[in-house]
Amino acid sequence: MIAENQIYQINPKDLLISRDEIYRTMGYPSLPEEQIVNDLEILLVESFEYMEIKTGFSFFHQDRLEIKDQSFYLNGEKFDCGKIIYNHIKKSENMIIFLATLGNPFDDFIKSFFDWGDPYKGYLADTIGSVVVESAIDRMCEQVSNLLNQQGKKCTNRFSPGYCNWNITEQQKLFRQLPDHFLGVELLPSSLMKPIKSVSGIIGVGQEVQKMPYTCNLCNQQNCIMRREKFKEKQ
Amino acid sequence: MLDILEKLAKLVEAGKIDKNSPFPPALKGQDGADELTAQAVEMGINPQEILNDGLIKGMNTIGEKFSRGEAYIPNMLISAKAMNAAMVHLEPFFKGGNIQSKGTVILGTVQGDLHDIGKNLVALILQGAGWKIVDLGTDVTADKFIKAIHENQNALVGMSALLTTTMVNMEGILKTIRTNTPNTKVYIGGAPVSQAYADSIGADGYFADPFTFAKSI
Repeated sequence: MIAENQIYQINPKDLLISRDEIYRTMGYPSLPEEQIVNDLEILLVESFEYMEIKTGFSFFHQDRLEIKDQSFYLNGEKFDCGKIIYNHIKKSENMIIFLATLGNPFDDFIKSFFDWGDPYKGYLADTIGSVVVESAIDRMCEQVSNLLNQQGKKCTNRFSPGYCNWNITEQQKLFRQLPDHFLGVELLPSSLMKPIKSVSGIIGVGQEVQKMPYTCNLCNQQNCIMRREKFKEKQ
Repeated sequence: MLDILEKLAKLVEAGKIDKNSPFPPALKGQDGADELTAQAVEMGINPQEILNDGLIKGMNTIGEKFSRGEAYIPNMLISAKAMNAAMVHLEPFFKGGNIQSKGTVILGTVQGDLHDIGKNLVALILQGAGWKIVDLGTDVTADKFIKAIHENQNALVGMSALLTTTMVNMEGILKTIRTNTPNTKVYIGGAPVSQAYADSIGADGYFADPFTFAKSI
């Protein structure tokens, strides 16, 4: 049986950090120069010392979830998730709201490079953080998915406010449905999370749902860093 | 004289900071932008020429590569690092008035937003293009912008936002600036910002990347 609220602490060394994903996030279509690859490897090891990774979720049973009219409702609160996400989650029987954070010390670690006048390393550290927090969620999703599979249920893709035409202000509603001070993450009025390297979102759960390829071509955010594009390794 | 400035431009473009920098491997053990700038100063080359024909030229080249998709943000930042190492040798000439900056740009991420990497990149590139930067940091209110404008006569203003929720604060800040100092030019940038948005709030311009900004102002 899956818990209503669950928290995981993750050792960053246990995560599989895709170097290709780091390169892609920085915009490289192939392997960057040797200097950048080497600096990233050194910084990755150093970064782990400052990461206090926590992931967690709230699980919403059928009696607290309603999906209709291109929206979903949790405890009666309406979420205008947009057409793209609605089509992915519309057959869900349950809903998960997830949250992940790398903690405040890692935000300070990134900032320290800028304060010391080394924006190059600050940028690399920031990119590492973005990829690691996504990797932490992927790991949590895998664990949750395995648990649910035992009950004959499957998960949709995960979706976050601010992406797939889902307005970022809806993040305020997501946080209202999570326990107070969940994982120590604070949501500012601008819908920015603090620590900055934090991610929230939803996953639909049910017997009839499935993971599908992300339909980035339908979304109007051309500069989205999460845009899935083919990454070609240099031969 | 031309040779050393051309070489300096290439060192900045390649991001060769100093002799000890192991990268790029082809230049291992050779003087970097740091040493070469010191040599140029010792040779008596006009500091303004060192800046314009050496350092800024190198930054412009990497910027053009970035605009063409042949270089990426880390490449620009490494070049900026090399340029900063070289600038140490030119500081006394700035203070002595021998080098003129192009002017002052006040930069800040708008109220409610704590993202500063994009704004920091803009600061680096504009510095590399010869502008003096007044960086107000993140979560900058209209009052802070106004105070900086009063302290820096004729300065331009650049506002940044990364979220649609904070982008909307640009309009209020712009209105306050227009009321207080109607002649101040205000430019905006950031992931959710567009030319259409700049037009809708009456900003003087929108730029998708720092190089276009540096070239256009």
